[in-house]
Amino acid sequence: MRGDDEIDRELRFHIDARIDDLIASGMAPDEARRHARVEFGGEVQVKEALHDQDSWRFLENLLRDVRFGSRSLKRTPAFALTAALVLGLGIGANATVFTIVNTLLLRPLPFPQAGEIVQVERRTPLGSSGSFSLHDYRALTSQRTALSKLAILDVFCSGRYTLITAEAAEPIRGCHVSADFFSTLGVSPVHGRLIDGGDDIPGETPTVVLAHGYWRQRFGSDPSLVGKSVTVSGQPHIVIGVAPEAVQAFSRADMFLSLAVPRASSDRTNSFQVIGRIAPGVSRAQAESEIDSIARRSARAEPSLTNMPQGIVLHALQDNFVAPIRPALQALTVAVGLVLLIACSNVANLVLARALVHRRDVAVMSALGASRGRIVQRVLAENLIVALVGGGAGLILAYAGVRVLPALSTANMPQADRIQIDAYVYLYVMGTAALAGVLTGLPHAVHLAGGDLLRWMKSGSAQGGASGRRLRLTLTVSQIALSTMLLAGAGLLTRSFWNLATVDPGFQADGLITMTVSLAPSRYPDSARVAGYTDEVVRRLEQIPGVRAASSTTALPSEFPIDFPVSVAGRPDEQSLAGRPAALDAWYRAVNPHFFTAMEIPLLEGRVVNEGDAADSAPVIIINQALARVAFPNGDALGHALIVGNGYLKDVRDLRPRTVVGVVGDTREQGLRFAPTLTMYVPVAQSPELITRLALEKIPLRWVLRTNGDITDLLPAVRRALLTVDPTQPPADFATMDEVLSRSIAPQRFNMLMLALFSGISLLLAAVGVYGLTAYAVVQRTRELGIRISLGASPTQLVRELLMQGLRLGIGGTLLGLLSAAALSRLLRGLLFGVSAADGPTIIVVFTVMTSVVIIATYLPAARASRIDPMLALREDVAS
Amino acid sequence: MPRPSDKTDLLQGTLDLLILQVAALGPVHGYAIAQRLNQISKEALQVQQGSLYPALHRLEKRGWLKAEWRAADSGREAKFYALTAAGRKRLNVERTEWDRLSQAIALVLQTAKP
Repeated sequence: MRGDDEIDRELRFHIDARIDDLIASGMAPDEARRHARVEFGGEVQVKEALHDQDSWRFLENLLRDVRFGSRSLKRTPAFALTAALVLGLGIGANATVFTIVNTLLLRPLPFPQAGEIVQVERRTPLGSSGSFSLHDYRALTSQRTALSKLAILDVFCSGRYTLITAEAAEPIRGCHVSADFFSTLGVSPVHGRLIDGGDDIPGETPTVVLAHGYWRQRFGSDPSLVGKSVTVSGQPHIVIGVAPEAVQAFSRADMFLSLAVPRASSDRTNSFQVIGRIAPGVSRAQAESEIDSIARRSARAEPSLTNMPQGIVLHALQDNFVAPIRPALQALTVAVGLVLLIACSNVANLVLARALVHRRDVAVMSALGASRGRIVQRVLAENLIVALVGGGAGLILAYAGVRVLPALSTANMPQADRIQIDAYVYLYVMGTAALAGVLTGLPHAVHLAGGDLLRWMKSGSAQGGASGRRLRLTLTVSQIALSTMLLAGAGLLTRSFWNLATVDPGFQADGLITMTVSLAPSRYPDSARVAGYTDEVVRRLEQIPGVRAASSTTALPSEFPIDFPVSVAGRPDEQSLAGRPAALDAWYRAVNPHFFTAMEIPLLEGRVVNEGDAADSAPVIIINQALARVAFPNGDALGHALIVGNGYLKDVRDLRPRTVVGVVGDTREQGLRFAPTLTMYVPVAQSPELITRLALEKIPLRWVLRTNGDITDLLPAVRRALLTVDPTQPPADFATMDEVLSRSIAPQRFNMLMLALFSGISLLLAAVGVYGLTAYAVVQRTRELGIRISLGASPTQLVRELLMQGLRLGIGGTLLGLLSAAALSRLLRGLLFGVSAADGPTIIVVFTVMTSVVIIATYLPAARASRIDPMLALREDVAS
Repeated sequence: MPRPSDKTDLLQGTLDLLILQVAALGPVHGYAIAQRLNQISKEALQVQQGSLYPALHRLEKRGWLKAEWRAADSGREAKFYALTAAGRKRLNVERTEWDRLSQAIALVLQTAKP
């Protein structure tokens, strides 16, 4: 290096000049040379000092420190491995959650200018709703300028349909979309073309676009499919193209079917959703105010047809996607942050303990003239190595984690297949590892930089310095506190989940099988024919040994509701019932006679549906207790008549009064979260035609089977029974009712499991921390304890003393943690259910668990202290 | 770092002032600066080479000194340091500060005499 050379020359000149001076003053040349050298001192040190000023020198030092650090770590592999593993656990947990957050919250949806895409929602008294009617969509789309595109599509954009090909009939997921759908997303076709302006004209042959994944899996990416005809829901469709993969981030549908949008429509059924794209240069607020005033104008002009009297609000599409999981992700992010802090604190404690053992290294460095900064730098370098190894371990953990996590969440995480580890995650892991390295080294470094180095190094083995001990105590208490916070969060979520899972649903879920069949409305155009089909299927199903009762139904418990207004016949509309409007909204279900037997819903009054309730007999209705109480507060429901769908249904026959013939028990199928829903049951044969048609178009028919055999043994027979009645209508989505119900609380279970996992890790780390602290104290105080035992102190007394110290730590840390948890409880509020953030039992359990763990972790090493042989202890100390 | 205990350690920062002051008299090499400081202070201030050279390089990097290799009186090549314009300004600042400080200390010592 040139710089080195120059420095050499400069220093040489200095020494030579001195030698010259000394010779000139009369010294012998040899003597002068020796004298000058001694006087100059360590040439190397001067150079070292010069080097340290150089910025390159910093890196060089770092490299040397890293080399030194890895050598020194190799000498203590147990420490290095433990520390790296503990940090790996913390970093891995963080990287996993970050990967999910990165994909779902931070990365935009995979569409061009995804920020311009909005979900259009109606303002409602309780917030907003994304469901729209054809009428309102027509009204919105007529005068808009701020939204360049506005598309209408099925509200459940992956409904069940049956695809009939040459070989077989098979269930598929489909979504009806209007012409603007693909241009709103801004995507181009992989093959052929996408649904556009020519495809939503009523009366034309409907077209379909295949989803990329379905095209690949089902048709082996066969491009010749474009232009061919397929039958969906009994109607021929022409395949016009294949959508790009990106669309799967929006919907999991296998096929997109063209939605015929009439120029004007009086259909006010809210069974669609609307998305739009804001024109370039227009802000979301501007677009919202324009579309809002269009909606209000239309509502004033046609008050009887509108469902949007309160106007419109626009949400970013991305926000809408992640809104349901945002609170959970926020809580998880905080949870893994806490885990990392505990891990760091734990390792920092290890580092401090090890530092005491390695004091001599520091002493030697200092004696050789290393500055304090250099010593601190070396200490930090060592920790950085450990943290980077930990980061590597964490990354491996994250790779496993992102596979396991979405699986655990059972399809409740939108766009789960988009979750993957990318460059940002690598950066994040590096950053976290670096941060962890600094954090773990910091207490030691501060200690070195601030304290009296010499005294610390001279201090014998007694305590390792009072300040070092205080530092370790503080770290341990902080671990207990952090772990308490996580434990409290996990406790609250466990209670919430328990509350949800143990709600009596009002029916017997055990032994109930469910499935779906997508009936083509073209084959079953009216209620009588649907009833004929379902009654025949029921007859055949109930012949199967092991099937005790079977029935079709409009919707399964825990599924989205289909509700219609219901009013008491003969009662004037303006009359209120206990402050409620005369027309109530109640969940609607068309069922076969054995529905209540199959579900084991108790009959409270009157009778259930029977075989005599045919299309041409007197219309009847069964209501649940909740509806009976609200509509008939005097308890005289039987014999009264109800009108279903007033205001929605037009057909006089559909609006016939239906006599209440039975009252059945409430089903709290969605858990306590939802108050017992008002529900009405209508015989399939008497179901209003419009409802039958709408239901079949939007959702497949659900089936429930009460069984007492092995479910898997029954399935082939069940499938055969269905296909015998109609080979073009295959069953799909076989599941036990327990599965259906547990799916409905899967997000809660996921949150609970995650927090339980993280708090378990943290508890373990905190226990290790306490154990380490006590074990270390026992070792450090061996001599003192030995003397005290030899002077007559009883071992139990010593153990008690150590335990008391542990107890103080435990109680202090736990209380601190509970207080901090209270401050953070805001984060959990949205996730709790049937339990308050300050739940007494949870606090007591957390307190007990935490202090017990601390006491056990203290007792194990403390018990060792009582077995100290005084003579050995004294000798040992002399030897060291 | 080994330090002679019977000599006065230079206050942090004062070495810079002294170097600038010596260099203000004309281009000078490191050895000469050490010698001069030693002589002028009547051997009270012993400048360690371990402090002197890092200080010289630091001042050079900051642009207060500029260095040049040329032959010394002995004929050997030496690195001569000369004050730059910025260095002269700096010297004035440091001097003023030093004056203020020493006056303040003198004042305290006088008025707080027992």
